[in-house]
Amino acid sequence: MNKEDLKERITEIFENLFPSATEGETDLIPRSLTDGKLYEAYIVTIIAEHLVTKENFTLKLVNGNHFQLKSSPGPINRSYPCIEVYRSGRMIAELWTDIEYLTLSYANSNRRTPNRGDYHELDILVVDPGIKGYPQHDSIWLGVECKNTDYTKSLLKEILGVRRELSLLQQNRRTKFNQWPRREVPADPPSCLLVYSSRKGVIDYSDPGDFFGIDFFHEQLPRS
Amino acid sequence: MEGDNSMVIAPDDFREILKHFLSHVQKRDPVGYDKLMTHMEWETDSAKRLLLNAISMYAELGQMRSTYTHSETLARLNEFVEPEKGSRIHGIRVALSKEEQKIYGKEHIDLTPSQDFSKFNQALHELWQMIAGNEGYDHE
Repeated sequence: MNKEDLKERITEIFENLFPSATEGETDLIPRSLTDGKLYEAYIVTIIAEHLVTKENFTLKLVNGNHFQLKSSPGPINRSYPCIEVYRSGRMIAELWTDIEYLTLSYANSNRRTPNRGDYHELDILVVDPGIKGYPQHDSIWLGVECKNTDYTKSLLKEILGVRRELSLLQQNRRTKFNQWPRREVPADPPSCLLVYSSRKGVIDYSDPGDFFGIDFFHEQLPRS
Repeated sequence: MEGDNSMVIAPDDFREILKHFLSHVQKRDPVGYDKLMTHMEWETDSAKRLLLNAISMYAELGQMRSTYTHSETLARLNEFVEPEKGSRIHGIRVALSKEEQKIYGKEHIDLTPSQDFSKFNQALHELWQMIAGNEGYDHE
């Protein structure tokens, strides 16, 4: 096997096995709108599994029979489907996707109207029930970032900024959870913050998270 | 070719093979190419490592377009989340912004893959293994 053999093999793979484009309106929609979304949906199932099996929560999809993500982040839209979270039959929280929350710094400002820098996106959020619009930083139980790309230094800096705008660093506080993802977190308000990446290298960036209360996980999509 | 240990490729040649691989991605899948160029970790001295990263990351992208991954994700949703009414959650969709709705004339996109990348992904995994050989590279 030499260089030319390998190049030939690569050409064969693309020419013979890359699916040819299908006709129809779906082809008008750029893949950039949907690539990455299935990873986010898969991580929702991972979160759901832990909440059901470790916290004994019951989860219920409401407002529709399709699970829905969003192409761009924004406030909570209560006409969209969401997942209600129940403990012992009582609804205690809601799980939403692609939501921007209002930051800790905004809450501590005297401004009445948020500017662009006063919101940050999280891919998956578990929040107090019944919120309309942008959730406040102190209504968040759990925030999750999903990355199906290489995990890089800039992504670490981004999540450290998100942590900063969710909570102040404090002695350990009790979270809303008994066991998973954490019973305690060094943050006030005591929100949990998780990062999932399809790339193993994410774990190389996890040390600062030990200090600030961010948990990093390597999770791949299922393969046939 | 799998498990072929007779591969003799100079370090510089991996750069040329990487370029060849990326040119095919760019030709067939401009969005995937942009994603690779933007999100791949390029900080390595090894062209072989870069080539392996590019193949595995592109295979990962293809994995999201596989019917198997979609059906497994939906099955897991139905395992852990109860539907409001009816017997099951029917699908996964992406809601479009107001501006996107005007452009594409629809409110959402169903995530059901219109093309199946399973065979393509499998071939990329085999290619990765063939290049990595027994030199202790991590897949991801």
